[in-house]
Amino acid sequence: MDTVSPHHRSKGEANLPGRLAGGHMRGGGRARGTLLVVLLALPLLLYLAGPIVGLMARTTPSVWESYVCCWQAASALRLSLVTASIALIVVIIIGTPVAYWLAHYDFRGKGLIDTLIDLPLVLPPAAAGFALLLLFGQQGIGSWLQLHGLRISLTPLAVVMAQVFVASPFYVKQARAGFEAVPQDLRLASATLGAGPARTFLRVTAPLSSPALLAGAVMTWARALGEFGATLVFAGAFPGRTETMPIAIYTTSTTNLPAAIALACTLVIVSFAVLVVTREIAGRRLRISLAP
Amino acid sequence: MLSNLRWAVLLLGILFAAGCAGKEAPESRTGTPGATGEKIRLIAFVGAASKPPTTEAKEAFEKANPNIVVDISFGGSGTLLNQMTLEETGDIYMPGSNDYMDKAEEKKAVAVETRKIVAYLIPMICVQRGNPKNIQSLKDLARPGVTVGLAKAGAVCLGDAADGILRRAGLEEEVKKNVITYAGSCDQTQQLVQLGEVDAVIGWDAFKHWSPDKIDVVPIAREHLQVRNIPAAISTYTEHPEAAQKFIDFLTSEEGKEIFSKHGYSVTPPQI
Repeated sequence: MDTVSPHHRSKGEANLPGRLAGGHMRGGGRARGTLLVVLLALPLLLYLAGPIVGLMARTTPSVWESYVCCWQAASALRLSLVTASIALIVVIIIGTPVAYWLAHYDFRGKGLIDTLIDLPLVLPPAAAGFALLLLFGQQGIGSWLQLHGLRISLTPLAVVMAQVFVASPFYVKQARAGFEAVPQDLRLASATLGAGPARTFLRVTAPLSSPALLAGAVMTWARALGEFGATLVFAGAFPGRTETMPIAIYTTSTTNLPAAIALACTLVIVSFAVLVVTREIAGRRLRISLAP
Repeated sequence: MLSNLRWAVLLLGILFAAGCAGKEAPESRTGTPGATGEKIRLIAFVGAASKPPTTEAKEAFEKANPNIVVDISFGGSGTLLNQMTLEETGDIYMPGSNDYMDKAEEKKAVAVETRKIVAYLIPMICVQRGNPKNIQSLKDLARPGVTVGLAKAGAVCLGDAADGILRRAGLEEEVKKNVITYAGSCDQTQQLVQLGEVDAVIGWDAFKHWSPDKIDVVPIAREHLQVRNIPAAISTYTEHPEAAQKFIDFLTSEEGKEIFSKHGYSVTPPQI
């Protein structure tokens, strides 16, 4: 019978359906199937890669040198990377309990909470920015906060808050899906063996859902890095303090398009490098954890 | 395990390198807006299109006045005004055009008597470099086969100015037949010609300076011209009116005019 032998699994590869299907088919059929899949995948891949390559092709070294090495561009990049990373950590800390709650409990109003989590995805970023500004600014609790010496709007703190607002749904949804996919038997077994809910979560649920958690974290970080509208409105665009890379690209583009393109290329390259390296680190961990 | 560590180090290295690239910032600013400390900190809300000359002017001003620091937030004039009025903060407002300053005056966000003109915006016909379609006047914009772009009237003051000019010349209907798109902002209008999307736009004289290798300008007959300006004024929320006045005076001084002129802006009132 054509089943995938244990030999395949021991190589440490994930059991992808494609491989299983390939194992069932004979040689020529498998090649045709693969070719078809690749051809159908090409349009989207070319559509994503094309503009990026075009962007890079328009940047000459001299333009890059005169515009990207100046301190404003460097500070915008540094601010973007730092705030996105802080936003990610905040989202993980405050988002994991929400994902846990939605995954393991049933309650009235669960649908409402679900929809609430989705809201930042459909809200236009500028609208989100104004909403944050009205709540945390002088028109809302901001005036009270300022009496106690804390100013939120138009500061770097606002940058992080705007990023957390727009990027949190990505992590929460992925984490929830990951937690839900952990078989309940395993969690019950853990409880039977004497582990409390916290220990079960840390030692059983979280490790088993780590691919989903990682995917959610990567998407959250990427979304936070690219955030523009909410940040511009809530935090302003002060170079060195709240002017993130996307905002710098925009303000530069009004008078100097080649420089803006060079900045955009820089952002693409750095983000790409970080994502690739993160995948490598996580990938190894995944392959190790799946091996017998 | 070891190679795992290598990747982690590489990741940190990329982040570190990206963060440390470039020269250090001339000033390191900490604290919340409005905090004074030793230096007076001014907050200016300035239209994005004025970024290059205003940044240079700010650096020259800070050199001449070491006890004053000017923090500038560049953005869309409308958004900046909203931020100013909602947050009741800011010392200086310098929108991209005078109609936003009028709005600011209506909202009582600026002190009317402090309003000054920093630069003039003179509408011109902006064409592709070399003027391949040989457009010499407003009438040529109505020629069949010529594609035209305009800024959106009602949303962008450049659009209102262009509409006013065409109406004065009696060419509004004919030219609008050739308009293939209405841009949502000044820079988008400029980009239409810069990227070759249209043959001509009615834009500001400064457009040519922003992309000298892509754009040529054709003057518009004086009798149809409607000039706008880039104004600056002190906000009513300021806590440092004297320092703010100093900065505005600097922008309109000979040195300030020279900086703006260098960046392609007209600093003397046009003769009409």
